[in-house]
Amino acid sequence: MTALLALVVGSVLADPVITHEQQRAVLTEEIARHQQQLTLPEAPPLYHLRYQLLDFEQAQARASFGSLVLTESSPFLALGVEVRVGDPAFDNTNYGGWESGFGRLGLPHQLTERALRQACWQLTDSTYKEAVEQYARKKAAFTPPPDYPGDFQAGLSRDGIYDHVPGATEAWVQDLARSTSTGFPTDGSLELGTVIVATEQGSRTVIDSEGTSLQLPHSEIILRAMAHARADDGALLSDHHSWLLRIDQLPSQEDLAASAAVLAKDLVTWTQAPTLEDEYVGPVIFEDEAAVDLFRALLVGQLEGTPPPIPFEARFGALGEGFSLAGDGSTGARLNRRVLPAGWSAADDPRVEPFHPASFVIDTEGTLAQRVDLVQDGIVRNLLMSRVPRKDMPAGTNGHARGSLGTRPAGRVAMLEVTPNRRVSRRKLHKKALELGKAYGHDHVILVRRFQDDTVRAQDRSGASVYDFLGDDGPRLPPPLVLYKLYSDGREEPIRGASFARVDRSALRDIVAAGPQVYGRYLAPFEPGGANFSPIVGMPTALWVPEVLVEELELVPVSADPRSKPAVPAPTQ
Amino acid sequence: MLAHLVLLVIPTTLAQVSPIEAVLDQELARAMATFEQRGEPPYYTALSIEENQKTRIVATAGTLQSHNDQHVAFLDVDLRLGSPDLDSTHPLRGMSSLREEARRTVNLPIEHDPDYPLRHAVWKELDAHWRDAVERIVVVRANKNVKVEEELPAPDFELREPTVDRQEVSFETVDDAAWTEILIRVSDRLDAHPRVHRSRAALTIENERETFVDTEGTRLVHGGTWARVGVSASATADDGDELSISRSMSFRAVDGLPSEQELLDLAEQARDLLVAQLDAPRGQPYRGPVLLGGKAAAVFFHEVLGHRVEGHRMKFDSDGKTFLEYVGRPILPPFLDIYDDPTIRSLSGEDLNGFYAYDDEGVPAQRALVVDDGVLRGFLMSRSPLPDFPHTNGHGRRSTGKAPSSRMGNTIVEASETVSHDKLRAMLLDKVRDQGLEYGLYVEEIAGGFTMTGRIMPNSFNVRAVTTYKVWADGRPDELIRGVDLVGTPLVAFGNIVAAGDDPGVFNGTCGAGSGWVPVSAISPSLLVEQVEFQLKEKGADRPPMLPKPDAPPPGAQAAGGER
Repeated sequence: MTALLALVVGSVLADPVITHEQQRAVLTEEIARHQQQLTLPEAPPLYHLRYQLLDFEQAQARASFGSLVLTESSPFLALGVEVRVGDPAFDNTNYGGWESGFGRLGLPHQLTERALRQACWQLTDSTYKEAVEQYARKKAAFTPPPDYPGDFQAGLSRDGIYDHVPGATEAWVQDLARSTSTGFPTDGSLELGTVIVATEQGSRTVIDSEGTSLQLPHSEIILRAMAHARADDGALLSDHHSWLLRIDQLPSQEDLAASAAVLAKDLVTWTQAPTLEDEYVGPVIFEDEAAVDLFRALLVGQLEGTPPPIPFEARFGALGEGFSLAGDGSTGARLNRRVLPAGWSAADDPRVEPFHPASFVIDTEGTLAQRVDLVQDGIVRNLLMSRVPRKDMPAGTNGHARGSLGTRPAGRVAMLEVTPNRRVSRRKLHKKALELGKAYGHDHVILVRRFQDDTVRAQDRSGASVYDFLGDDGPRLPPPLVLYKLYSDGREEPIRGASFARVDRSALRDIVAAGPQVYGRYLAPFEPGGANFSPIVGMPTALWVPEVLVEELELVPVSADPRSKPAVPAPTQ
Repeated sequence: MLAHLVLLVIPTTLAQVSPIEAVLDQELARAMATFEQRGEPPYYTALSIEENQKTRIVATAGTLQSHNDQHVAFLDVDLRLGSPDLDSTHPLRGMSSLREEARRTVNLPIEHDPDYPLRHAVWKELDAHWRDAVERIVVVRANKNVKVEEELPAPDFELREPTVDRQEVSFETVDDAAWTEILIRVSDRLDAHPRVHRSRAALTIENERETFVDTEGTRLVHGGTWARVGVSASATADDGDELSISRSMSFRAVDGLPSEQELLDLAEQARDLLVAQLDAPRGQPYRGPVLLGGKAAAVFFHEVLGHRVEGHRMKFDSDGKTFLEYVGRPILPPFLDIYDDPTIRSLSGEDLNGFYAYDDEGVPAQRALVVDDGVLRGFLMSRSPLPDFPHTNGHGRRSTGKAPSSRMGNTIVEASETVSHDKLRAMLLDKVRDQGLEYGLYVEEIAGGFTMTGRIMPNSFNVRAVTTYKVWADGRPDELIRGVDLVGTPLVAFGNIVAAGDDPGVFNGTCGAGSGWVPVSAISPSLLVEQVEFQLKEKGADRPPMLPKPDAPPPGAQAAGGER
């Protein structure tokens, strides 16, 4: 009886969980309190403060060959803060290092007013002190040139409350992972047959000192079916199917399992393909998802305009390399530079498919998302921007700021469409390629329809290297999977054991023909130019691109490691 | 021949074989047949599956921080090619030592019907271990050939008679909702002071079942429950010191968990001590007599002696081998005995973290005598023998993904001659006066410690003091200080122990070393040490928060519930 009484009394005394409306009120009050009271002697003024509160339900399950391996489900609540001291022309941000005015803190699953106020208090205090010191570091090391575009585009505020998106249950996620993985065969033909399902639903609240007050929906479901098969020479081949969709847009469980079965069957078939014997230089056709990966690797980085931070010269090397006082402050993006053939265009509009996980109407910084015409007649005329100014983009942000909580957002691709001036059928694309191939003395050309995914390959026990389209010397293409020699009689001869060498961004300028439009989606690394280390972490991104014929690329043989081949025959059901 | 024979050993209680064990058995037999055919069979292989079910509830500042349930299973493979005298696991020297370790964390399916997913995972890992071992034994032999003889040549492995013991292991649970409420109230109590910056009350219930099979015929199913409840409060002092006070209790069954009132008392103690510490002065470097409370003395022995009597270390030419030549010779005063006994479940009314039935090499836990009447008698041994200690004493331990090595379990210090705490304190003051000092130090509580046993870095220890008092020779009240740690080197420190108390203290914790993190206990009476050195603890540089801590809203100030 005593225990029961204590429970009842305790329930009455416990702080109540606050509503989203109360969350916004608390954040607004805390912004005012900190802006008024947070000041250090001789420190520059705190001129901008922004909170972001993520309030998600997360669920994740991993299954292999029909059995669950891992499963977890929990709320995810976190607070992000952006503290700017100085003024928009020169503040603590856009300078290398990690104490840059951005911070984050996990929040209790049951968020009370006291817990939220304490989190604001702790996080704002520490981030403010870091911002003041970062301002001094930057001031001491960097004198802005006369045409320095400043550090922040101030004066933008927005408010609105958008509908909440219902979430998935843990049981649903488990069922989906388990049932999809039953599609993988239990005949010993695969070394890996794993499905990961991860869902995240909830809301994102943005409150800032300029009056912004937003509550935005968030919904993401990632399903990755991944398979590995081993060829007789020891080569590992991997493939995957990925879905980034709303829950109600997913195929049925039966269809997903069937899709996994087809994936596995095709992958095992590819292990039987002969290997490339000699180096190949000549025309290459990119079809299906290979075309998406080509543009992802070679084009996307050239359209993202947020300048990298000014480097902080640490004793172990510069943090934030890439800034150039002489140029426009970016290594990847260049205005007025040809990136595609004449007559081609590219535009990014995060609103184009409203229920896609890559879609948003308001970006991370609270700016309305816009369609941006990036490339016209093959030349870059516009860049994707956040509220970090850039001298050659005077209009400032165009609503493409993306990034992870507690870091500096940057202008990033969300839903990009590349449009050629003219399309031909696949048949004509092939014909054109074969004509070009003759000039190189080939009776065939190379056709690639699918690349492997580095994060999927890394699921191997040996842990394959993860490059994510960036090598030491610039962009790279991952190992091809669906690769053919295409002959003039239409015969497609499968090959494997090949890798693209010395791929350069200028390859896109060498596109000589475009075919049908294809669609693909992927998870982009949170940091521009960064790498993904997990198959389920990143920012959903969608591309619509044409299948293309590139005039000249180089393909080299890759030898397999025979030691990787299992000694013991795989078990069977 | 032995390797071939041991494969024929058949477990005696087949009726109790679980589906998991059956898969391990069958996959082991199938793989061994292939390895035989390939002409390079391992002379010993063990497979074990650890099923782990864990619940963790954390509360902070009067609300629920997190509640996580986790159910996972891990596979471990110990595959040895060559012979017990020299096998593929032999430590390598020089560049060859940079080879990747074969042991790794392998997640297994947690559903076993059908068993193909489990079978597939076991096959893949076992096969990979064999291929690695085939390469490694070649390198081991070459490495042995080109390098000088090791300082202490010894076999790599001890073969054993099989053990068959399949225990019923039930997984325990608690009333999550009730415990969530309790922890919320405890965290509220911790948070109820403007100078406490962060507070946390946490409960962890961990159930574990291990299924072990090997080519010698050992078949084990064992495991148990581990419950831990604790509180912590932290704050930044005005001088930048990051202070944290933690209190926890460990149990081997959930029915031992404390009442809410006990936890509230614990929270108040931690909170009040933290606030007192914030105002306490920082100590100074010190050399002089010290009284170590029981828990502090227990950690002192864990760091100073325990890690140096882990037998496998004697095989490494890089190790300091402090006590190797001291076997049979006194290293401590004659009134002290030390043994490590993982078979003890509780002592002095406290459950012990270091309790286990079988070690991670399938060997029954045993009491290992280390020091008898001050004389060093032996080492903690895994199945990696030493020339004079060829047998394991059941101390081969590891955490997931690591290879086992000899580790502590329940390290127990006993004194045959003891005095009361008051007498010890009087003796401390005598020593202070004898040495012409103003004060001595009394270390009541410690947070843990670390030690370095290698040869490049100083062979020293650091015991992380939390609650330390100056005990004044002139009779002033004891004064709480902060910011100092107890440091020294083992041989000198042991030579300075002069008396032991009659008040054994139990330290339950988790110890990290080469084979990972393992739960341990250390038990010791309080000790008077004639001379110990203290050094300044590291200090933070951040100011405390500039604005006052937000007040808690009064109860009932808002409508409960809301849209969540």
